[in-house]
Amino acid sequence: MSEIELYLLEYDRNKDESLRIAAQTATRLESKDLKLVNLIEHLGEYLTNEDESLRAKTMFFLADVLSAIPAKTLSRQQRGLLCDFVLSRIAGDPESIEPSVHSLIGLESMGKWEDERAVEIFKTLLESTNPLKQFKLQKQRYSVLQLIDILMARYRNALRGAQSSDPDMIEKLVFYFDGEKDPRNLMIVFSVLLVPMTEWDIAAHAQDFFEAVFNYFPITFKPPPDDPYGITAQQLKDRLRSCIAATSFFAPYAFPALLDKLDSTSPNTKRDALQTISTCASGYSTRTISLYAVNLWDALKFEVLNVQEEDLAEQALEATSNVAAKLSGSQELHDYLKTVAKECNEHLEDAPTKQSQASGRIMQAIAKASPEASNFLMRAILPQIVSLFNAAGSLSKRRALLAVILQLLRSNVAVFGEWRTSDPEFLQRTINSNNALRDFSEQIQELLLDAVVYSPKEEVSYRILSVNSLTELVKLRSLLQDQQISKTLHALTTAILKEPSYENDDLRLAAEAGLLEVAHQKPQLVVNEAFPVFLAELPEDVRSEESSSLRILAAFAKLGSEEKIFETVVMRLRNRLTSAFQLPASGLYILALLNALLYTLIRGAYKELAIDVQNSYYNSMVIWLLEQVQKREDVLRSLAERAAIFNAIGRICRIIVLNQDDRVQQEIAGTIYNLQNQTEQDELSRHDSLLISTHLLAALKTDVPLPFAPSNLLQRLVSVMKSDSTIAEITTASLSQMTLIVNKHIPESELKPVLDEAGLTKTNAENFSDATVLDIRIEFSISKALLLRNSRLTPSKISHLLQRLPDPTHGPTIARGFSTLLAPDEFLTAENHCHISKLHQQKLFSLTVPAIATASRTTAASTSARQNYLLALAGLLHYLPYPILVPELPALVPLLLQSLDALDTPLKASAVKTLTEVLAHDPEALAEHANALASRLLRASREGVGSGVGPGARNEAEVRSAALACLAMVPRALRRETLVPMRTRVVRELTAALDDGKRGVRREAVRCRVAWIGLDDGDED
Amino acid sequence: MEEELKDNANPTILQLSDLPSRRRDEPSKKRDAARAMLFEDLVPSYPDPFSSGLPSPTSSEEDAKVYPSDDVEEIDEQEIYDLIAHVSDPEHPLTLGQLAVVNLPDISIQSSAAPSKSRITTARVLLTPTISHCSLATVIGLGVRVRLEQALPPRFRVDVRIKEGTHSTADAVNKQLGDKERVAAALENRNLMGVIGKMLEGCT
Repeated sequence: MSEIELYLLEYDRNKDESLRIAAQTATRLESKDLKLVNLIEHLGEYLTNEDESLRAKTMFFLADVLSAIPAKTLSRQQRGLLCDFVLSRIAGDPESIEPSVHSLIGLESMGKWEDERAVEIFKTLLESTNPLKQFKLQKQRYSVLQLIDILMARYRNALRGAQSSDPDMIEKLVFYFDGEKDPRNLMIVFSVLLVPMTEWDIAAHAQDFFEAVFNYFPITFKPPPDDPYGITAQQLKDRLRSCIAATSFFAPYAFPALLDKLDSTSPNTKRDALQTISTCASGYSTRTISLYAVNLWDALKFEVLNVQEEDLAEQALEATSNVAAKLSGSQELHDYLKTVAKECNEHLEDAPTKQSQASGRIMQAIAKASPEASNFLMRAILPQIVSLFNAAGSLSKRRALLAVILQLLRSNVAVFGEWRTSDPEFLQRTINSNNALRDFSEQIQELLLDAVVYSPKEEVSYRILSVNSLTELVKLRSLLQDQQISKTLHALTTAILKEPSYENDDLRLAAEAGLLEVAHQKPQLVVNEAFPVFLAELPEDVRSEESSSLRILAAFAKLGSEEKIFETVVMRLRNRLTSAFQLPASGLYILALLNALLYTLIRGAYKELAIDVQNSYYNSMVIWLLEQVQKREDVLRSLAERAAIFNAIGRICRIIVLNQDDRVQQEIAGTIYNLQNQTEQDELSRHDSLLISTHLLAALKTDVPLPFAPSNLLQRLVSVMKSDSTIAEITTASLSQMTLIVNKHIPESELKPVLDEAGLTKTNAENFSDATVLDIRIEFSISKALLLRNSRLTPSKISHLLQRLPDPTHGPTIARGFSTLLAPDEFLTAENHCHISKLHQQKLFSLTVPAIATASRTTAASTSARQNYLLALAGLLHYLPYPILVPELPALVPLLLQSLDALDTPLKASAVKTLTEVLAHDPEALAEHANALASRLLRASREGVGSGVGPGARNEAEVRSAALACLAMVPRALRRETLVPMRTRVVRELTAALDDGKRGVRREAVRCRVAWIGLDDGDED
Repeated sequence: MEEELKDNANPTILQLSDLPSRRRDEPSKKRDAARAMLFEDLVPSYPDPFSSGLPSPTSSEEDAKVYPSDDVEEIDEQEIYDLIAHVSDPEHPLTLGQLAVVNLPDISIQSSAAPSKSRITTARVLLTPTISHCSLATVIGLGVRVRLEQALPPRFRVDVRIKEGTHSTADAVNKQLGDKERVAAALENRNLMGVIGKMLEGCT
């Protein structure tokens, strides 16, 4: 049999086999074993067969052969002949359209066609396959569209040339795609049509072209659930929108039709229409837009003045702004803006109303369209605002006008930039436009200053608006003179320094933010003018916590977030600190100054400084602070105060040492050694040194060699804790040092010997009953350090601890300890170069939770032991990320429900929190427990009476409100049928919580009750 | 246009930030002196489970603010205002607070004269319609009533009325709002309950 016969035989049976046969033919053609002429001749008899499907299959054979032939096999002449041949088939045999088109696509990929050839193919398609909908199968039309798409993309100029001499082409093309409904095909249709719309001369056929695409508006396509093509409605909308906005010739049809759609009741249609109007406003020519500007305004303003949905208003604002941007530079801009300004001014007269508020938004949107638009509106609106403001009888009217001023200023910044704007393109654009605001800036500034300084102090929001407006004014590039800016600076600093405390200090916070902004724009001005005022307010010493000086100190430290003035802020704080140390000032004040410094390092611009500048802080800050520490002899301060001061010094040093080079780090390791080995120190100094050295140790990189043996340090820390066990800070610091050493500075291979040598293990020892709470804490600290670095020793450590949980004496302590393993920690962090395994939470979970779940279920467990298990579990779950728990949920849920009855406050809250997460993510795990859950949560929402005896008897407010919040989630998380029978009871019992003594609890109770009442709304729908 | 059907298309509105609210009490200044109240959140503080009990689910700072002390906080006018200020107007996407339909000074709470035993308390709310012929005054009144009945404990008697002199048919509306049976009958009406449900959606 010949290959074509084999192919026809296999075609319907085995696609792969038929493709293989075609490929074989292709190989023979390539090796000249078979001549092209012979192949075609051979096909002849099948192509004249009466059976149309046989003809189509034969053409598929040709297409498959062509797609399998390597590029260079056929000569240009052969390809030409084949093209002619296929084109004749297209004209004569519509049934074979799909393979014919495939053949052409195959031929095209072998070598670009000449322009005439492309035009010929295009025309043949238009003639012989018009309209496209004659082909019933989607894939047939899809193939043709693919070819047309290739022609439009690669032979654009040729086609454009051809259509200008052949008007027939356009006419045929317009109706060619009529009736297409398939989304995949439409994607191509829209992108094909976009070419003639933008590049051809279609003026005579504009309406037809417009209708050809607008028929599809609005797109309501919803992709089927498992759509293999992944076409979204949004993609279709986007392409359709570009078509509608393609040429100004569409305007006479597009705008009336789109404005008509704005009356639609469907927000989706309105949204589409608004977006399209917006795109058209940018796409059409200035002249065209000028014709429709006022019509558009009349329709669009409605959407903003009477907001239906917020995003529709936003969209309408964008459209009005695009119109202004398009008209900018033309005379027509003025007509448009005159209409806008007139209407807005009218609304402003009635302020404060819904429409005056909307006018502010409109003007802000339009004024940021261009410098011209901004200038026009400033001239048209500002004088009116000022005179309305001065004549206003009520503060609420003034407030509404101030809000508009702020909006106008913001739009002005968007157009003309800030002092700090450095984008050269932006600056080039505005370089020649004079800002019309300049004529009013002085007047506006005076008005705003008056509002801040002279209006009643309780008008907080009013004054905040003024402060924010003043700040915008300062920001504006090349607008105010330094002298004018100084006035604003003065008002802001006065507000920060002199304002009495009122309502959360909102005004002061706004003024602080304003000052920071000024510092960003004009750093030197702030240093020269504001700094002296601040420093004058900072005394040598402060003795009362109530002192406003502390507040001022805080405001000053916040200025350190601005990079340009950071170093000056730090220097001034350091000077204050020097004199405070010398005086000596109160511990309170020294601590406040240290905290201010710490704040600038953590929240300020320290990290933005150049590395060498950062490095210089080692000398100027760390060494300097350590020297100060050596010098001071003020032993009178309370223990707690000393601890706070030295911790603060330690924290400052830690941040600076963290990223110093190896030499400095090496030096610090020596410093740590010295601090801990100063024999002549008195007890207090030893404590101080211990605190500071903990922070220094935290800053050390792991590879810095230590000048002491880790096991010695561990032993010494144990003895320190034993002798000073009453001082909490010392215990905590010592334990932190232990975890740092174990986590960072002992190689895995040496861990066991070092720990054994230090003799720290008690839980697996015979004499466990002699162990103290301190021993247990040490155990947990070591375990934590090991767990985080994922040491091999972790599992045995944890299992020893677990085994001791039922212990009658130490069980409760150990149970509490489990919460420390995952608790966040100031020292054990990645920033401090610690080893933090990514899997440590997962690891701890699998080491503990299943074991606890099993153990607490065994009948052997006594009540107190079970209590310990629940306690340990709650502590663990508290810090575990929810996804880790999911696999164990079936075992956990009953335990969590038990915890609600058994535990005391913090852990009960923790159990409620976990249950809340279960409800949010895996409600089905709780489905069968709905009743038990609701009853227990209701019980937990009551303050005490009747909620049983034992540790859970009294519920703290935080438990009550967490329980109510959790219960409020139930109606949405669980199935309605399960809950309806409980509804009446829950709603009734919740009335008790409505009368709770705490407002926060009552708030949750109201939410919860409303959620449960809402349950029966379901059957109305 | 639908807008023209509204009684008052362009009502005066208040800024959200200017509505009366319970500002948080000044943060207690008597807190741990050693931490020197400046920048309190700067340094993380972790409770020590071995000495002070156990970690609490929210940071202790926050709790201190939400639950300042053990004192009982009675339900006051501001609390009732907060319950109903977020009820939205059936005509506008604005709240009754923003439209000044409910105002703090027009809310009063009266405990019964009899000493503590019964604890029966009356909460009276006077509504100010945006214009004197507002046809939706009854619906608004019902919405407020439903909200308060859901949210106040049973010992409260709810009394919602139109403020004197602010509405042309105030008496009729008050009669409707004050008549228990008529209120109950109105609430059987599904369309009406639909409208009220929508008004209450924004309440949190």
